[in-house]
Amino acid sequence: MAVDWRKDADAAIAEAKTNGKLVLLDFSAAPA
Amino acid sequence: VSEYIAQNFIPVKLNIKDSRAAWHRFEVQWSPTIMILDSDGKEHFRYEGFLPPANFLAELDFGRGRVAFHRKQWDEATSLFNSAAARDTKTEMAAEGAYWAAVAQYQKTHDPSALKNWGKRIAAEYPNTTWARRALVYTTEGAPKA
Repeated sequence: MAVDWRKDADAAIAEAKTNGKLVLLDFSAAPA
Repeated sequence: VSEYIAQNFIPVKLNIKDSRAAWHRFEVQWSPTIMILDSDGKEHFRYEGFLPPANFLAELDFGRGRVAFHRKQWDEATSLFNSAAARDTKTEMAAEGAYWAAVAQYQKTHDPSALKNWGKRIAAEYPNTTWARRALVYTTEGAPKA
């Protein structure tokens, strides 16, 4: 299963509000 | 790992080249930095550095445990801290997870025996950790009053 990484933190926070999940931020220097 | 992430999080990858504003906003100093936020955008946990999968999952368990702890969900917090501790029993996380599991149980019950029992256990199992040093107060001077 591949991780469906989002690229927008605020959109992810809004999405988390609707489904009760937490937000995981991965700050990376490697190419996305 | 990917299944665990999908089950528990909305995952966001913020590359420094494309997301400098987010790096600045969250005051990220090093790569990689992993952070857990609640649905209000409040940060509950972060760590820096690359880790093998088992240790990465332990950090995520621990971070979820911190969220549950902040929400006063003591049993959920205890379960997650214990899970973090069990993923690699040879690391500091094992001791730290055991510590916070005991604290969560103490917060739930206000029974000092949770801390006393933990103090004895960690002193025996993880003697060379800072968590064993923290345990000293519970093993030699008694637990704090509720």
